Amino acid sequence: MSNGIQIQTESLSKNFGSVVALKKLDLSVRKGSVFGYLGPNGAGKTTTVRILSGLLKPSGGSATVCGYDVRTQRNAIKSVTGLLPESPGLYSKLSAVEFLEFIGALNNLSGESLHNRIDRLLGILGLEGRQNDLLESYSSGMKQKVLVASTVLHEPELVFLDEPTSRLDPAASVLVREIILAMARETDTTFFICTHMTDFAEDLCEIIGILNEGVLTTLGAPNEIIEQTGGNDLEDAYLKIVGGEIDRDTLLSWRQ
Amino acid sequence: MRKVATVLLLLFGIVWALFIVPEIVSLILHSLGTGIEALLMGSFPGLMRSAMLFVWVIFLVYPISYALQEIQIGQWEIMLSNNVSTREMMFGMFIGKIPVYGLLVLFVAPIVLSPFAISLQVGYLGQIIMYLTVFFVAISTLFLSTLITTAIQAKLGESSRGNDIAKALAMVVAVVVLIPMYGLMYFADSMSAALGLDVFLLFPFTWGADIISWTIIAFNGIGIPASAFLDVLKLGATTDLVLLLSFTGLVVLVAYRSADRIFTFGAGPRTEKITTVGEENLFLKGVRRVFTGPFGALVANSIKEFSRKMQNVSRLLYGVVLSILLPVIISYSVGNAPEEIPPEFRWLLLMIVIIMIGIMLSMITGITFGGIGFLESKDQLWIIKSAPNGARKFANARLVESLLLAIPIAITPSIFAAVVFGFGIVETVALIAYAYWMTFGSVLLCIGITSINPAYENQKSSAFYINTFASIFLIILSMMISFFLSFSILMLTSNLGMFMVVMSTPLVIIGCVAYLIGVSKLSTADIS
Repeated sequence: MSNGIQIQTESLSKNFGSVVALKKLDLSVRKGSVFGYLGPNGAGKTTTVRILSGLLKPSGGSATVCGYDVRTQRNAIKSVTGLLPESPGLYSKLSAVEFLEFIGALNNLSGESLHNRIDRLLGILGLEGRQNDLLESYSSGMKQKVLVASTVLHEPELVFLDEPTSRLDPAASVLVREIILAMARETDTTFFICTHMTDFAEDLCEIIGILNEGVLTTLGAPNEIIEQTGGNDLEDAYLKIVGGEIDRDTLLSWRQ
Repeated sequence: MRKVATVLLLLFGIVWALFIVPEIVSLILHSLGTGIEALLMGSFPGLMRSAMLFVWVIFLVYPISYALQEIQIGQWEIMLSNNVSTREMMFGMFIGKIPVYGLLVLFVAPIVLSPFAISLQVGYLGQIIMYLTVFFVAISTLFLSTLITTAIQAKLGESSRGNDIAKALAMVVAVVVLIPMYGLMYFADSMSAALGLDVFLLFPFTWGADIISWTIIAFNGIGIPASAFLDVLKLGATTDLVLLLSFTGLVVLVAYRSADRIFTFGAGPRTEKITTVGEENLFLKGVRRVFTGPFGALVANSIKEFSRKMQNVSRLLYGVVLSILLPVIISYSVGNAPEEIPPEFRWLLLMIVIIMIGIMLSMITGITFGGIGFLESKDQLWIIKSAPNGARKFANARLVESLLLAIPIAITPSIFAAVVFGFGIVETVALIAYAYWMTFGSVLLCIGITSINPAYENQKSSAFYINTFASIFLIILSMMISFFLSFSILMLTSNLGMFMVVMSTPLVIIGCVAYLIGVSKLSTADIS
């Protein structure tokens, strides 16, 4: 780790054949901050997260995460980070407790301390009554809560959350937001959050980066971005930046 | 392109049925001499029933097994929301299957019917009736299978549990296919005799077969009299035809009337039952005691996850059942009771049993533990890989889990074979060790192959087919090489223990190499 910077990228790029997924990304994320990464579908957000968490090789540029190089120190990065992937990859035939024990074991945790931690996390997330039911019977929101628990279980220094609230009801979204804020403020954990929910990002994130077609087009605090674009709120600003405003006549033109 | 390929395939099928197969069969019959003609002449009604049983089973069970691999209620819901009636959907699904299965009839029926048509000199009109009968039996059976599949799928519902049960049923159904196939291979004569029994007159395939037999009697050119087969055929041609048409009509009527009820989706197992796990059993507690710490937790949870999936359990049971049946079939086909086996055949028999059990167990355990049961989804792999050395820890835990669960799977058929052939204790222990060692090698190999090219649980993906083909190919190749080596050693040393060691060890070596490469590949960061 250097100078309180958890993530540092320089000209980080990724191509899939002829498709450019990420183009010369220069980014710094401070320790203990909550960084929001916004962009339309296919903009390159998940690709960035996968590179930074050591799952995907970059095509060009360099990056360090918690002071470790993404090309050569992938296991060191994984030991100090947590990842909530975009789609839930749960084991349907394990219970929540068993799944979390499995994830804990992958992160070298076991025994009484792990089980205490699992019980408390499931309690906080409101799953204590269902913790021994097989995950196949869980709703998508409940599954997402289990995944959130699995991400923070080993107390990572840096947490990557890819669409953390996409399957959650409003109450659960608020709960996740509060967990993120508490961890960021009390334990100095850094959060890197990919999301489409502009209101969620506006409430939670100190710095926001907007990615469009693999290029980081905007970077700053939410209020700065809103001011720069002259929008009413972050959603308005976001639409002005990535271009999502369509007039009503166009929307109904398919009927002619 | 697809249209051209279909037309070409159809044209080739016609050439195949009219010229290629009759030419080849004719040559074979000539080379076999007049004895075969006499045999066919004397036993064609029974043989025809065996052949039609085969067609019936394939057309009834294979489509069910295939369709159950994937519950399609999502697509049904889209169609039903678009002003399509349930009947139209069911008939549409049936009609969609006809071209592929029709081609199958076109390619298979000549092989089955040509020997009779040529040796018994059946006229063209007779041959046309024979082929049409096979086609009719096949298509009516296909309709029945569509009805059964639809009903099962609708009742299971679309949920992970429903999918699991469906896949388990697909395997159980597959056993029903394979046993008659083994039966046909090993007991063709005795089965034909058995099918002459009255009870088989209740089955639609018998009516179809008997119509063909009556056609042969009516149109043959060598003067076979009907009176010679009245004892076997029992029912007249008209009665058979009426029964077959009535049965088909009844199935269509039932399908037509019950379509609305069949397509009423059940809530599915998802809402019927919530499974709550209890305390761990003694076996899992023992596993945690042997493998302490995080690795023990990984192994215990891998065992739970694997063994709770019905499709895994049914696949392994299927392998064990086949491995148990093999010694019985071998014993029966040799035609001797165990105590009557001449001493000079004893070693040969033991060798055949060893090879067959080895092939069967290694294929089933390899494909189940390594192929299907290894990784559920790509998303799961992301989670596993996001832990430090996660992929390696996961693969090692999966390997230990597979090797623990493989113990009873290797022991059961070995003991069964030992009882059937009256082996001594030393031979039995050696057979168990050999079976387990083969399983060990095969699990290593298949985990290695799947790690190189993950197929997850999608049994219809190209990765799954490639992995399965590569696994089977490598198992067979290693066993062929092993067989030549071990057979030479057996000839030189007469040491059966050495034979088994040499027979099984190359697979373990190949497996170790594949495993190391696979896990290394799985652990690296993705490029795409």
